[in-house]
This record gives sequence, structure tokens and C-alpha cells, in this order.
Amino acid sequence: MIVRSFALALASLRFRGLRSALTALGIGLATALAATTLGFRVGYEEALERDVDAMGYQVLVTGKGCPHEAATLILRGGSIPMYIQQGVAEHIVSQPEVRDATRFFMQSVSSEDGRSAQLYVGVDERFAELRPGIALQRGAWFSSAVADEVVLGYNVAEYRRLELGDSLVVQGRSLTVRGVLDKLGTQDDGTVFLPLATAQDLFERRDRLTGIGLQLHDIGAAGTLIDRLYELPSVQVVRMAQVQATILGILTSVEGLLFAFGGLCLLVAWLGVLNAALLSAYERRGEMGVLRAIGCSTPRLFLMAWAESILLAAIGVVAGLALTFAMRGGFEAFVRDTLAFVPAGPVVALRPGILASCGMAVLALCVLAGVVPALRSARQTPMTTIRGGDS
Amino acid sequence: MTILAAEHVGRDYPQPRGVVRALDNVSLAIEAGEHVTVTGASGSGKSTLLAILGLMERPTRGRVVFRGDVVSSGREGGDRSVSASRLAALRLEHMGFVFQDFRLLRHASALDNVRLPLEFAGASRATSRVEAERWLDRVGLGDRAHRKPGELSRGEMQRVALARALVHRPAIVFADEPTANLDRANAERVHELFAEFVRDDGLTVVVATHHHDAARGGREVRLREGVVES
Ligand SMILES: Nc1ncnc2c1ncn2[C@@H]1O[C@H](COP(=O)(O)OP(=O)(O)OP(=O)(O)O)[C@@H](O)[C@H]1O
Ligand SMILES: [Mg+2]
Repeated sequence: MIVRSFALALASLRFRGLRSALTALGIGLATALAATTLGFRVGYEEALERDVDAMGYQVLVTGKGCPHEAATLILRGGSIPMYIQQGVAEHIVSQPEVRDATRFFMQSVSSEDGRSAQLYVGVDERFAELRPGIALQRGAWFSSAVADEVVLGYNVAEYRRLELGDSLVVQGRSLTVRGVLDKLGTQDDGTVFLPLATAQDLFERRDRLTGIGLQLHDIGAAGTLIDRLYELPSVQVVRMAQVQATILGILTSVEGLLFAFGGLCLLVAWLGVLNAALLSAYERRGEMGVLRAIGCSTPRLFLMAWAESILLAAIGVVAGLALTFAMRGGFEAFVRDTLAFVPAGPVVALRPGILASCGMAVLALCVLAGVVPALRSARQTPMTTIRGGDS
Repeated sequence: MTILAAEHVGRDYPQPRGVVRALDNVSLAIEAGEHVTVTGASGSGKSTLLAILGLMERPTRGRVVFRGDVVSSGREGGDRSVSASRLAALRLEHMGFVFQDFRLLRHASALDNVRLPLEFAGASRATSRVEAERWLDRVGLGDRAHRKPGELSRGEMQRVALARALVHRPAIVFADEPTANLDRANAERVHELFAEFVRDDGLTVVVATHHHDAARGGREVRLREGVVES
């Protein structure tokens, strides 16, 4: 009886092909949007955590200014027009809490048409050791602290088709490609690394640093260190965990909006099915009446009508999950276009759990939406077939 | 043997300006194997009578007796104990219906339409298929089994409806103006089929029509303003 009811329901849905397809599409879109929204909330946080971890240091020192802005710029890669004097840097690095430190100079250079920018980062010899996961795919690190050499992020080598020994002209000076990094899935993939002194020289900022990343013996001592460094007039100190929290805070402030949006998607799906089911119940008064006249039982009639909503919901949700994957690239691009800061790597996490919960929620709502119209159909009196009903 | 009887049946329809008395004190006994034609002008109560005899609607007064059991009665007749689902079960087991406008499921093939009563009664897929094909053959549509109603002529649709009314071997079939939407030749064919089922299968048939000349074979029951004339 159940199988037959579903078979008849399917035939009926196919008979109203266009309308069924549109309803299923609505359900699918709602599912996809809900899953994407939720996936983004989860994925963004993870990607941010990955990015921050990939920095390899727990405390960041920059020139005076808004420290969070500076940290965001460093995560994203950009030029910070505030510098630390080399002398001050030595003082900071020699603090007792500091186990290791990496000094860097960062400069972003826009392409001539202004549509893209290349990030150059001058790094000291500690950089490669401090940053977790960084590894050379081929070649080697710089031969000396002042060499005119570069190490390329994976994507830079790929897109510019540069090989070891090729030369890269920066600010009018020709530098030799000495190494290429492994693909890391972070900002580093798009970066050109140079020896610190070479970079400072190239961009005419001798003895100036963009920042210093500090690794501490004990992260618990960060507070004392930050308090002490606070006395220095020209620097800002910030914990990376704090940066992470601040950026996430921005996301949390729009969280309500995100969830309202997701909820709205569910509402739209629910209304879509309700509407389709009510319309179908109304249109099929005559049909249901004749089945009733023949002697079909009420539960069976109910099941036949309900099966349509269940099938529509199931088809819609499956389509929606496929749509979620299809939309992912577009959504990522959209997010990168709109948001001020987006961590590297995928920011929409499409986990089975997220997909399943969104799918189940939409399915449950739509299946429930079909109950009342189906009850209506099932209560049809056989008399509609003789008088008043339509065929 | 009387298979179905109406005893002093009356039916009122409440209306804003008083009640419409669609049937009044109709008594009628239908014998097994009888071919009854109910005639009368439009509004005389033919459809109402068929609906009450066919257990689709309850009378306001009087009662309906099927094979000796009271199955439906008016409030004034006291007992209304037979539930709607019991009535549905009785229809499914013993009765078949043919309507003026065919009433086939548009999205199902002729075969799937015909097998519906068997499916509702719980027959297996194989049984319902064989039986449905057999009855489609009998109404001359063996080669149209997989067409949908939209791909059939009106005459063919009504013959599919006939097969559906008979496939589960009911004792009695009701047809409310089954030929009103058909041309003469097709109408003739439908009437012949009814006559054949009565003659060869011992079926009891009750047909309502407003054409006097359509009363053929069996007995004619003439209605006039809700009352039996003869
Ligand atoms: N639901 C209803 N409410 C009010 N009046 C009704 C209702 N159904 C039928 N009637 C009235 O009952 C009377 C009998 O109707 P019925 O349909 O039985 O006539 P009929 O003989 O079948 O007519 P026709 O040949 O036009 O089909 C008519 O006067 C009709 O207006
Ligand atoms: Mg009528």
C-alpha cells in the first residue's frame, strides 16, 4: 500500500511536471542557502584559526597604530605604513619571556592596472623555522642575509611560470629565484619572500621593520610582557588569540543576521510546499472524491496525498545538497569580494553533519507542511464526484 | 431476491431560504440481476437517489437495506451506527460506480485506473494486473491499456471507467448519466455493455438518465420532484 501510494503520487507529480519542478527547486534553493550559511559560519572560524596558527607566533609587535588593523593587514597581506626601528626591535627580542622571534618587513605592490597586488615579505633567518608547515618544494632558502634572491610561494611560481634560477624583477632590481615553497593553502602561497635586508633596501626602508612575531617560553606570561612593552612609545603589542577573537567578533555581530537568513530560507521552503500541497489538494477534490467513492479508505487517501509532499521534499532536498556544492565556489568568491577580511583557504565548511542537519530540517518542515492539505484531501466526501467537483 | 432496497427514503438539503426536498418518501426494491433505469427531469432527484442507494450519502428520513441489513438511515430512522469507513468498505466490496464525466485519474494509465479498486482491496500487483487487463479486453480496449486518459477518446474513457466499475466483481453498479457526454454511437456501445453484463454476469445495474428512450431492457423508475411516479 505504501509503495503503491508513492508510485501514484510520483505519477501525479510528473503529470504536473513544471509546477513540481519549481516547488522542488524552491526547496532545493532553501536547503542550499541554509547549508551554505551554516557552513560559512563554521568554515570561516576554522579558516581563521588555520591562518593564525600558520603564523607560528603568539604575540605580534607592530608600529604604533591600531594593533588589530595591523594584525588583520598582516594576516591578509598588505603594506602597513608604520614601522619599528631596528634598535627598538633588539630591545623587544631580548626580553626574558621571548623564546624566539622573527622580524619581517612587508610591502604590497599594486600591478600597473591596479587590479591586483603582489605581496613581498622580507624575512629573517628564523622565519622558516618558526612558521609551522612551511617547507621548500624545490630549491633552497637564501644563500646569505643580503642575497638578491627570492623564495616563491607555490602559486606565484605556478602563475608566473618561474623556475629555479629564473630572474624576477622587483623595483627595477633583478632577483634570482632560489626556492619554491610547497602548497600551504594560506596567504603564503601568493607571497614572494626575500631576505629581510634585501627587502628593506629594495623598498628604501633601511632599519625599519613592519613587525616582529614573538614566540614565548610560556604563553601565560604574555600579559606581563605586553604590559612591559606597553611602556615603549612607538610600538603596539597584541596577542594573536586576541586578533582571532576580534575578527570573529565581527562575524558574531552579524551572526543573528546569518541565522535569520537561514531561518527565512526554511520558511520559504515551508511556504512553497504548503502552497503546492494546498493547491494540489484543492485541484484534486474531484480526484480524491472519486477514490473515496470507489471505496478507498481515509488513511490510504491521506497517505496518497501526503506522499506527494514527502516526495517533493525529498527530491528538493537532494537537489539542494547538490546545489550546495555547485554554489560553493560562487559563494566563496562572493564572500571574498564583499568582506573586509577573509582567511585563506575554503571558508564554507560542507561537513556531513551540516549538510545532514540542514537537509533533515528542510525535509521535516516540508513533510509537516503536507499534513494539513493531505488531511483535507482525505476528508473529501464522495459526493464531490456527483455534484460540484471538477474532473 | 432483493439485493438493495430504499424504504421511505427522503433527503432534504438545507438552504438559506428553507430546505430543498430532493427526495420524498421513495421506496424501491432492486432485485439481484435487475437492470433499473431511473429517469426524470433535471432536478427531479436522480443523482440524489443514486448517491443514497450507492451509500455515498445518507438519507434524511427512511433507510437503505443491503442484503437484509440496514446500512444507512436518516436521523429520524434512529440508527446511524454504520460509520463512513464501513460504508466505504461496503462500496469497495459490493459496488461499482460510473460517472457522467468519467472521473479517471489523469496521470495514471488506463490499466492503473482500472486496477484501483483491486489495489484498495489489497489485491497483489499481479492479480490486479491480470484482472484489469481482462476487463479492459472485455470493453474492447485491450490495446489501450497503457494510454493515459488524455490519449483516449471520450467513448474509450467511459469504457475504461466501466472496466474500473466492474473489475472487483461488485454485485451492483450505479451509473449517473453515463452517456450524457457521449455521442450516439458511443452511448449505444455503453448501453450495450451494461446490458451484456446484466445478461452474462448476473450483474445488477442502476442507471440514471434523463433520456426516456434510454430506458431499455429492465425496469424504469420515473422520478418527479423527488417522488417516484411509477
Ligand atoms: N448540495 C445541495 N444543496 C442544495 N440543494 C441540492 C444539493 N444537491 C442537490 N440539490 C437539489 O436537489 C434536487 C435534486 O438534485 P439531483 O442532482 O438529484 O437532480 P437530478 O435529477 O440528478 O438532476 P440532473 O438531471 O440535472 O442531474 C435539485 O433541486 C437540486 O437543486
Ligand atoms: Mg444528476
